[in-house]
Amino acid sequence: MILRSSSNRSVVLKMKEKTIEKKDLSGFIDSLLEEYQVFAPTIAEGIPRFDRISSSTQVSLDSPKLERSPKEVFFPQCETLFTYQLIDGKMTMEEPPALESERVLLFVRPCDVKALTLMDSVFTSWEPKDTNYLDKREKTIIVGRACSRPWSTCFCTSLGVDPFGKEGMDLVFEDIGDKYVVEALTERGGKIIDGSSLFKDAEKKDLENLKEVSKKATEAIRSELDVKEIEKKLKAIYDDSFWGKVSEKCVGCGVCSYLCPVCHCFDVQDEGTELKGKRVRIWDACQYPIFTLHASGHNPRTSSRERIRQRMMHKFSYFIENFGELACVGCGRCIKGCPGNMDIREVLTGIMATEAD
Amino acid sequence: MRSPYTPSLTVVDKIISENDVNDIKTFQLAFKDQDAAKAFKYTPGQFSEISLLGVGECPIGIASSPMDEDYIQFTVKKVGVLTTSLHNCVEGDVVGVRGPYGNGFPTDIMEGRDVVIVGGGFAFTTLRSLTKYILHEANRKRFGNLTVVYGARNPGELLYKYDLEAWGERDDLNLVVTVDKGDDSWTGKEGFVPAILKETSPSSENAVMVVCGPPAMIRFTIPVIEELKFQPENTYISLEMRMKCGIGKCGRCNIGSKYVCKDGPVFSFDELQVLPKEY
Repeated sequence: MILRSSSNRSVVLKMKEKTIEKKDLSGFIDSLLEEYQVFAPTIAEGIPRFDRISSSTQVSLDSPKLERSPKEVFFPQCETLFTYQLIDGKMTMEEPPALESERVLLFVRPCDVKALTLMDSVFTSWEPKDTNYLDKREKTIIVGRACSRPWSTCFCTSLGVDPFGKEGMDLVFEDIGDKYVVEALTERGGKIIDGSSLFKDAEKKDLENLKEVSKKATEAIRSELDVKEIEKKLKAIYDDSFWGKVSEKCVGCGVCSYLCPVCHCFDVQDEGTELKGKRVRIWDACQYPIFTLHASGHNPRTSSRERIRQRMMHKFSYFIENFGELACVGCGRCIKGCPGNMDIREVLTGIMATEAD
Repeated sequence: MRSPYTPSLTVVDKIISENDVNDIKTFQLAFKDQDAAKAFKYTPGQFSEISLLGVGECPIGIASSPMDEDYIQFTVKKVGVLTTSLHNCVEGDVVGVRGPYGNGFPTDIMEGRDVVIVGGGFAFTTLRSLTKYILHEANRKRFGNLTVVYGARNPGELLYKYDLEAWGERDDLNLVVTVDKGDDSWTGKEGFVPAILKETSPSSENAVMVVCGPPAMIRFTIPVIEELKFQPENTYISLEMRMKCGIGKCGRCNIGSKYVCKDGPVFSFDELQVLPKEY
């Protein structure tokens, strides 16, 4: 099987599956730490998130709380674009240095890896490319983990994302009980397990187990939505009163965008004085009134009606027009995080059921 | 790897106050670095992200012509935080410039055809770039008849009076300047742009129209454009939108699937017809 992969990844033939005992996982992670900067699911300042770790003991694979998406490993919530300083009457600017070595991002679910490939479209499809993002993306080996225990809010399968999908991964770990089946999908994915005695060739019964687990996980996702040709439907109901009703639940907090693994909007701000400081970019959200407010006072999206519509249109219509794919992977984080109980699945169902006024 | 978000530094060479109330100024900038100056190749209708370090950044249309090789000019109205700080600048101050960005006016499509430029108020800045570009001796013969209809609220609000004066003496363009209301010394036309455009009545045959102005002017000009039989595919407008990155990534200047920064800011009327009216 030839795997399609994002442009910055080598395409290789499928390699033979290996297995690793769960008890040996920490040994593997600690061996990685000797060579790479490692990012993994952890609890940092009380928040489950993907962050840099210094020991395998920090890895938390079963967080009971809503975790942040791994987009911040490539697109930090606040990122310095450059620093500046006036020295002896001369203004100098300095960009943060490029990464010196490769990094490993561990245990990302298929939906989140898919989201990264979608973010690639925005940041790297046309010139000028986003070098800040690209540097981190190119120098990070992605280790996926098959999603054997989906959340109640998951609906990835309705959007064409497979909880055992491997798109965009370099290496994948698949949980079959007391061990993982491990499959290298690219050369650089293979590189990080090569030579490790912790990995054994997978046996026939391991692969049979895997099939069983994969089937169960897919069945565990109970949300089934039909979003076929939703882009056409959205165009037809653009001016519909539907949007007014939907937006009543929205308090405009923007948490949906912050938690979303695909949302990529940002603001650019200066921190400092005219003598010394830095220009930063910070996550932003289309749900805020000032997002599109002109200096003149004019605002093309004056109420949450227009802003919710923009969010849905962007994900389910405009993104398809620009890149041929949906900008939602069905991870369900926005559903879990919304203080107004807005459920994107209900919104999608509502869109499909609405006949234009 | 140079980040697209790092500006090139320029020095303010000259500041021209453009109107009586002094809230519109033209900033003439010179790049500090010769390589940056050479790399900054633009067409009329493109814009830059202008920044003051420690204050911020905003998109401003380029008001000079690509034929002005030694400098670039931006005409800025004092409206928000950045533009107010810019208005406080003096000659010699350092200003950051990124770009040029956007598609610009379709000068290739205009070649060999008549060009009608219609502008109102402060929106005339990039139209001035286009007019200067067409009038340049190296370019003039590549274009047909040139008509420029330009209106402002009153004589004191007319931008580029020095250009208007020089253009008025030329016989290779039809310059029609109007004000909503004149003063004692005003001897030119009085009236709104749509009415004056109708009166000027430029031929739409083998012609391209470019129109920029405040929303009210555009609204009343559209019926005149239709009456003059300019087809939607031959009529262009430059749009404004709040922007940050200028390169189609920060996600805020979209109209439907198009980003004003990357796919615009210049759109033909037929391109706009298929986009949501969200601007």
